[in-house]
Amino acid sequence: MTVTIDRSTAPAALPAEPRRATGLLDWLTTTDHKKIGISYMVTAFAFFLLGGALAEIVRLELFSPGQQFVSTGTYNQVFTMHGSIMMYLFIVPFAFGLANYLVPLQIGADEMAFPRLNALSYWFFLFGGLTMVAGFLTADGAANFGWTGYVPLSNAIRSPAIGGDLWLMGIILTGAASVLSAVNIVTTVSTMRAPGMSMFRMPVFTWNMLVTSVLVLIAFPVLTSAAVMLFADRHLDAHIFDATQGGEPILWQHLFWFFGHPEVYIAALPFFGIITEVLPVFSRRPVFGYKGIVLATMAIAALSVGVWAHHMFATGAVTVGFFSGLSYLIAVPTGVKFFNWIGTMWKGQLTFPTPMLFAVGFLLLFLFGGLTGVILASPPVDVQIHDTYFVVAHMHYVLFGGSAFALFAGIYYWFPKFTGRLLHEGWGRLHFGLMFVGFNLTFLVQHQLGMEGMPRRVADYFPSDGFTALNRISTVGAMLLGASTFPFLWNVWRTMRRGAPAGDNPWGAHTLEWATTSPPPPHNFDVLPPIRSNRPVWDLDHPRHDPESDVSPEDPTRRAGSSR
Amino acid sequence: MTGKPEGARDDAGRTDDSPGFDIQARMFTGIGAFLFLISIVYGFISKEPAGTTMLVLAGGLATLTAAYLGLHKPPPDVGVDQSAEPADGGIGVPWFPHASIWPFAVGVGAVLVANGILLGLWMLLPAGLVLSGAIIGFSRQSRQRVS
Amino acid sequence: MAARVRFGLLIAVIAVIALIGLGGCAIPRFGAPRPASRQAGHTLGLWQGTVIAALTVGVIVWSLIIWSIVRYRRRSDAVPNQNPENIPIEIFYTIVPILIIAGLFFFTLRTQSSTNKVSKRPQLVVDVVGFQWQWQFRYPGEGVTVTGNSEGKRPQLVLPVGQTVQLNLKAADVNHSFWVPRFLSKRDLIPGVRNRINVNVTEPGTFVGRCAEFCGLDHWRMNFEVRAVSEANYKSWIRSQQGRAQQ
Repeated sequence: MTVTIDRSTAPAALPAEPRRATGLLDWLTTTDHKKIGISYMVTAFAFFLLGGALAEIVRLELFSPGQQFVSTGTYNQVFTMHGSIMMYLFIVPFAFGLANYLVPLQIGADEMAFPRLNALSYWFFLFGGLTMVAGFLTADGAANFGWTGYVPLSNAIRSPAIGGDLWLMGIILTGAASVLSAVNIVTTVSTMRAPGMSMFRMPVFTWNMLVTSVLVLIAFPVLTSAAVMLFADRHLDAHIFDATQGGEPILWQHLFWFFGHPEVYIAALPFFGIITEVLPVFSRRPVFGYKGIVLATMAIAALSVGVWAHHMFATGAVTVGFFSGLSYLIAVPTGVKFFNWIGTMWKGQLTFPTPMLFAVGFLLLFLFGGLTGVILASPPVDVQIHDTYFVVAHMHYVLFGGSAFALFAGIYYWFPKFTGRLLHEGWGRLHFGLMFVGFNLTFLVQHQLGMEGMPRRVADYFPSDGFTALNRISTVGAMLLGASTFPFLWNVWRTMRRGAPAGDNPWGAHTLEWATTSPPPPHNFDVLPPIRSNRPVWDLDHPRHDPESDVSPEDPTRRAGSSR
Repeated sequence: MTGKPEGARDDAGRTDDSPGFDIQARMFTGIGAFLFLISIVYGFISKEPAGTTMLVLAGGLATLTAAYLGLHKPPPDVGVDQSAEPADGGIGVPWFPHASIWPFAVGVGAVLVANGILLGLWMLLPAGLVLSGAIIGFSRQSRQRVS
Repeated sequence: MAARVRFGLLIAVIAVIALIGLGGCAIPRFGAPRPASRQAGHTLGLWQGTVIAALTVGVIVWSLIIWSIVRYRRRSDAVPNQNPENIPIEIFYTIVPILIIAGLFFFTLRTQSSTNKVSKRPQLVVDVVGFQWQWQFRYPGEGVTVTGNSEGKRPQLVLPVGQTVQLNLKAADVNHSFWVPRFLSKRDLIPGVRNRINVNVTEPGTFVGRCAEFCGLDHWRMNFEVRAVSEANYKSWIRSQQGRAQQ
């Protein structure tokens, strides 16, 4: 049975909300974490669509040997900005947008610790992102040296155009946004939990955002410093990375990847958190091994700071044994999480609305990406497949098959909470089906392309290379993948206009955000349920003396009955 | 029911004599210790200065945070029904402004400065004024707790 | 799945990896090109073993996932088992991955010591220079230089089969990477980094080579060829190159 929250006993002495601005002025001045979160997610999704369009240009050009659609110079801008937009302007900002909305709700707070700083992060993100893509509007185009910006290619001699500088400024601004958001999240989680919400009762999504924020604090300042150093080389004659003047080009790679590897975990951990929220709800079970999954997340974060040069095995300039060992080791906590997820579903009562479809898709696809990652951890093997389409396939399996699938699971799951309406199931299934098939068609064959000898970042190839057939399959898949976005966009449009009302808790979910209205009031909660476990809303719906429940009411990590 | 003495801990798991941030402090201490450890290993094995420096500094960041959290008690509980008016003049009580134009203004100032660096003094100088004004406005709002 | 079954599978996986490491025969190449150098032969064995290990783990975990979503579909409204933990199983599935990656790391180190070895007395030294956007091969001992250009045929790096060849990799401008897929290995050319690699070619033939580090506009067609020939043919090629240089 579901207990509805009795609001008649809500404290009547709440002060009246001050008169709010409306419309544009509201958006420009809001400090409400929910509105800022929505702004973040919508803006990040818009960048996703732009980055996706650029990807389609790449795949169209590679359909056949010979230049069909874009010149080589334009192609180099296209793939550079595709990667830059997806990594800097989409996946991480979307995660922080989701965190902005959910973290205060999940811990029973009614705002983030620093509301104005929160808004400032959003504006830095929006303006920094616009600056970065403004390169396309300049005469010589956007940055064209890869999202990794290796020197000497990215220095003033080899890439003099202003697009590169706009890219650097975009990195600095959006990096600042991420750091400020991270500070906000760490402070909020540390100081604003509701009574009863101890650290080990927090939802795993909040835990993952806390750990992600720590990684941001460690990694982003390094990127910002590297960007400033490159800017100094480009415009102030600094010669930091200039080998002809005693500088070291490889220093850029160390700096970039010290940021870059934690970055990919920053792009993954929030989405692991989403999966850990969705699976228990649609299995009607608690998270399996809650403490283990929290510790595994911390282990992943700590290890991820020490593996950066596994991106540099082919340089011949790094201590490969150290990085190979730690890279193998980081597979262990990631594997542990898989068993936590499977254990959550085990012996449950599984249903498969759209969020759960995407969550299962994540499990199937991220596993594959993780396994190719373990293959890449071996330097002798890596030096064959590094900088080839094998790596392109690996990264898309973990970032798209992993994070993006989880992102859509999160959207379908929390959309009713944000808007009060349920997205249509039929269109959701179509979205999932097209996306799953299109994704695999696009990227599975790329493993083989890499092994056969197709390098990355190539604008074209020769008929005699023998790459044509697999590239054509990949392009067809990419078109299908792109098409899968349209059922989703239609679904959102139609639901906002006439969607079915969702109610407080349409999924029968477990965590605190489902204990308030959909959408929540400005102050988030009229009444907080008692918090005695990591599933306060489940506990509300399943009172303590439920004989079917194995769980001790005080501490769900201890079983009330005898062991099985 | 579980044998845990109810009186010793409040609902948030905190006791009177524990600092309250102990789990976070332990988390940061663990990360810091791990980073220092691998920085030593890496430094000896590779003798590569950039990575060693970054690992040491990252360890320092984590340790600094751990020390701060370990030495401070959390602020007084913020309940669900807090308002924008500070109860006692503002010292020690968190303040959550309802609306503010200053974040937007600082954002505009920052992006104009960033682009002004690229486009020239004609843009950079006015942009610097905008940014400075916005930062001043942002700070004044905090000091006066105007919502 | 019973712990005993899992344990048995683990033993099987380790055994297969060990066999691969020792033998490597009649096992599919899983997409890898046929190795054309001694170093490539070592790498192929490690690649095959790693892929088999990864596929094994993958099949097990995929099976568990699919089993879960099929077997535990909702059958009723009854609240299912709410057990949130099982410490013995959690310890098991932490230890087993550690053992697997320990094995993989061991084989990695072993293979690496063979593939990365640089002999003190190579029989031939060639300087490989990468520039935007072609290659130059200099044979300092013989006074021969081969330079590619963006039109026409790919430049050929002519090497004798069966000899230890040292390649010195030098970047003239930006980063490049010397990659011959049939050698199952690449090494970057980075200004300021002195990279030397050894190649012992094991069969004659022509093997395509590519640049594998994005270097700008014509990166995609910065291709070359390795032409491996018998020692006698190599010597006569050298003589013809020297003769041509004198004209």
